Amino acid sequence: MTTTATVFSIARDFSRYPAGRFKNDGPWSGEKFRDDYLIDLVKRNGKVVIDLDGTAGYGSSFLEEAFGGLVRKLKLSSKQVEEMIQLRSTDDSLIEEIRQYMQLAATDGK
Amino acid sequence: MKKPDRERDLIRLRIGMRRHLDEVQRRRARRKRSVQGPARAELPPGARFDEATKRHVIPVPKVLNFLDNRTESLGFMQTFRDAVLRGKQRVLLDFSECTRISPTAMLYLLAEVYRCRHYGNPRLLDGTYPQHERLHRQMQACGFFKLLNISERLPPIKKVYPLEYIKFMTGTKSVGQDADELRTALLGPELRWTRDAGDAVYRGLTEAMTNVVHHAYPEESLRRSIPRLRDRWWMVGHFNEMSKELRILFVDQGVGIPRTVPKKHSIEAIKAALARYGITSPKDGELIQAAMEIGKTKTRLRHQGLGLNDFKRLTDACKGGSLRILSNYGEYRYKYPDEEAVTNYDQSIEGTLIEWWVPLEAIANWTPDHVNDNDSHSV
Repeated sequence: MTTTATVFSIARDFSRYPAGRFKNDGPWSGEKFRDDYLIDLVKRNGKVVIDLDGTAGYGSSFLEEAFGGLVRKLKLSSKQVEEMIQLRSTDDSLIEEIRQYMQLAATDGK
Repeated sequence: MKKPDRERDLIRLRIGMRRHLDEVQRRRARRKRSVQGPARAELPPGARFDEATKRHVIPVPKVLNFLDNRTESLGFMQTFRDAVLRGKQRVLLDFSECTRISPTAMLYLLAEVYRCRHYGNPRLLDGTYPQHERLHRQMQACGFFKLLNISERLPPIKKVYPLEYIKFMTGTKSVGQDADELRTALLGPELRWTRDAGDAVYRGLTEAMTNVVHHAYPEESLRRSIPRLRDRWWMVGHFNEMSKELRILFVDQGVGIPRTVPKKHSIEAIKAALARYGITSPKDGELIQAAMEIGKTKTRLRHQGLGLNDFKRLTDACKGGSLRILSNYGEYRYKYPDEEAVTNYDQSIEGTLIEWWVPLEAIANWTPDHVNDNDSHSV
């Protein structure tokens, strides 16, 4: 039986205007995305596809706190990150940037 | 007994010495004021007291510009601010002789006027209309008269994009919608950013907002004779027809990057960043440069840096243009692809001002046929 990964579109299912690191920074922060959406998605589905397209843009604080923070909070290894999170975007540099944040967070956790 | 690390102590000493001396001076000034009563701001030459309205009339300098006329420009702004907020004096800003205000000075002026009107009694500060029509139109376009709650006199004109000025925006949070609104308003309904440039504008502005919320207004900085509006930032967009460049400007009235760097990064990280430039006695300009450098390299808390390298993305995305960061006494300039320069001044801007110069190549579908009728001055 093949498990279909859940696809979560940040623009459609969270906000078109992600910005800021912590919940106190603004209405659609990386921490809010991670704690209120991403962690639950990962825990419930095991594997999730995150569609990054369609937003007004991203800041490094949002991306690092959302994805790097996910790795830190769940104490994931690099291998687990690769298995659980698939990133989808027409901008390859964005995917690479997020991967770096997650890898650094996994390395820092050791 | 373990010997102290001499080099580390020297760096800590240098970075901390000026702050200590500044604090000693501030305490002396506070003690003096508490004996003498509220300070009366020293008014510049040309200022007069109008007996009929009981107001100090302060003439605005002919040119407000932080590049060529920094001392007079900053002196004027800090004088009227001190008169209103510290001296509780009624002040009228007389724009009749003013002919030119650079976009940087315009935003800084807007922020100071905003602070004066929103912190204390809004009736203490007022202004006249400039006689120079071009300047009048620019001030109206960026929302200056609305801020002073006075009527706009000039009739609206047909909008030609990119707009010379968009209305200034202000906030206290990192709100992506505001960043999107600025970049959209500047270009209008037909022109659009290239994807990389548009993303970089959004990223630079939202990171600037996030930095302000995180670092610019620590609790202890709010208790001072010139009050700070907690977490407040301002931004504006501008198009210069002569140089064919877009300018995006962002300012806060916080403690400044040079004071934040030693608090947010380890001595080792600062030292390593400064060593790259052969700097051993950093002033404010060098500390801004160090903050930019630290953002690129690994640090102990690398996932919570100041994100300053996001500011360079716009110039890199456009393969042109420049970035300027003024913070307290220092200035850092970056020009694509790798030109950096640092300057230190005698007068502090008491906050941080970020300026992006963006060439028209950042606009995907701009052609020379998009003629802007505005007769802009350079700088």
